[in-house]
Amino acid sequence: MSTQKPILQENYLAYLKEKKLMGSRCKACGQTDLPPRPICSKCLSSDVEWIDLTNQKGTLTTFSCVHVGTRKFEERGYSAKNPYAFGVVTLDNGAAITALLQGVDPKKPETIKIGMKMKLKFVETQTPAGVQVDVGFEPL
Amino acid sequence: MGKLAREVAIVGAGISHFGAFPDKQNPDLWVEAFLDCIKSVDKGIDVRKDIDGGLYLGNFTADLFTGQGHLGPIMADLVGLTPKGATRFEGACASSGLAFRHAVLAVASGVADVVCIGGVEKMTSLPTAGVTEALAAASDAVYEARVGATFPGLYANVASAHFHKYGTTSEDLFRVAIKNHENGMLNPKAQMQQTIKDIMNSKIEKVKKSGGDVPAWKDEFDFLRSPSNVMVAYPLRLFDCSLITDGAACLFLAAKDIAKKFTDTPVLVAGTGQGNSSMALHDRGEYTTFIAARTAAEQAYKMSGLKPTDIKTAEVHDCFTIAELVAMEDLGFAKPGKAAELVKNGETKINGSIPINTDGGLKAKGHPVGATGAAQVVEIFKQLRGKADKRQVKGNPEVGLAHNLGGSGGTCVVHVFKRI
Repeated sequence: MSTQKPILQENYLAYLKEKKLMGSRCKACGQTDLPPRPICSKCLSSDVEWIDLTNQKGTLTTFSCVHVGTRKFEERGYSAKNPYAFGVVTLDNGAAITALLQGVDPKKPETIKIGMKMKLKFVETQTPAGVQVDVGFEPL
Repeated sequence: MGKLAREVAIVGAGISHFGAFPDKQNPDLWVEAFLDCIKSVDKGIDVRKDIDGGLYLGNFTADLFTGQGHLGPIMADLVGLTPKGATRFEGACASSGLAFRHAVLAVASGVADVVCIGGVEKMTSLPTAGVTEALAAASDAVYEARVGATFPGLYANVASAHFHKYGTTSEDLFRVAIKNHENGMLNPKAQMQQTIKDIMNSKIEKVKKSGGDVPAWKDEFDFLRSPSNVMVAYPLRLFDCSLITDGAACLFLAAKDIAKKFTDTPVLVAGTGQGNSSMALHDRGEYTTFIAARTAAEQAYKMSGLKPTDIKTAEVHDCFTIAELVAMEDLGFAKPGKAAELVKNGETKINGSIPINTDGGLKAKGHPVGATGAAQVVEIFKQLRGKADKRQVKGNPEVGLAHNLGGSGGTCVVHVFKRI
């Protein structure tokens, strides 16, 4: 009997906290979904399991450099003078995720290139509730 | 499938002034739009007697903007619709497009003969940071907002992808803003009744008066390229973004066979369509087009028997300049990647071959999110009846279209209209 944790958003976030990027893999058709889904996005089977994507490489698919952020990002010290970049990274296995971009210069967006090869680099932020870990990617 | 059980027509349409009004709340904006709608019904309407189907109301989030939920009965009661029923629809910026579609379906089904449909949003009750936060509630909170996505940021991702795939440029986006401001100048209800050139010149005057260094802007493109047009989310700048607006819109729908009781010039709802997509951009696998819009358009065209080349005026959801180009491509006015060319050639201006956002669009008329979908239909109603005054499209347009997009494309509603 499988003892895997149920495919819940809470568990995805708990894995993130352990610095693991976990998606779901459909046992019926092999589709990988990221973020994980309890029902396969391709064949709608609910026979899915966790798959560890932490070591996957990817490609920058699109991005933006944000000068006017949400309050939470302003609290982290970001502003028009200190913008941040986020975008979509498509993993080599086809799954895609929205991520903070690390190791790039958001003040020089012309140096950030769609098509760049990327690897995972988790972003840790100190919050009143403890350390928050988010999905980040940096150029290879 | 794909056909209404009976035909439905618009018999009245009205709109409030759009802008930032410290002294007006949701009920005040709504009543203003309702009274304007009443005025447009040339043969008159007895609200209590004639409207049997109650109110279909679009509102995104009065809850977050003003602390008031459950708007349906409040707004219905103010205009004499108690106790006929009132339903509030929420689909982010497509809220009143959704309300309109479902009002059409109610009349088409025979449940009601005449209904009232509207949209209202009071946004300026919060400071800009609060508005950004409230709007961010229409993106995916865990997978997008948590890693820094804002609404301008998400559309900026669409713009970056479009630039990369098709060679679209910031200048292409500026042309959309310039055109919509030119149209807004002709609309007495618009929030911004100034061209971008006027705005540029007033900035120059201001600097001259203060004795500072006068900027050497050759034209409005120069101004839009300058740091005065601040970056919001690269590649989108301030003048690529729509406005934070208070406003409301209201329309009356009737079964086509009784429409002429209210007016000799009703406008037929020839086609209605609705689509959705996954909420987060990253789940879609395509970043330069919205499947929700293509789906809604396909349904609306099919039902109406009309095609993109039949459309003589359109209101499209230009929450950001890039969204107007993508809408034109999703609606079939241009091939993918080719919308910018139409704009550059002036084809989307009021005197062009496919006038778009004649009322100034979300960019200049304003974008009270929950009222926008209904307000777009108000403009098409005016255009098809020849009542759009200074911004009237020449040659008596017979067919128009409205495209209302929610969030970053999670919801889309498209309607095609025809003069009867």
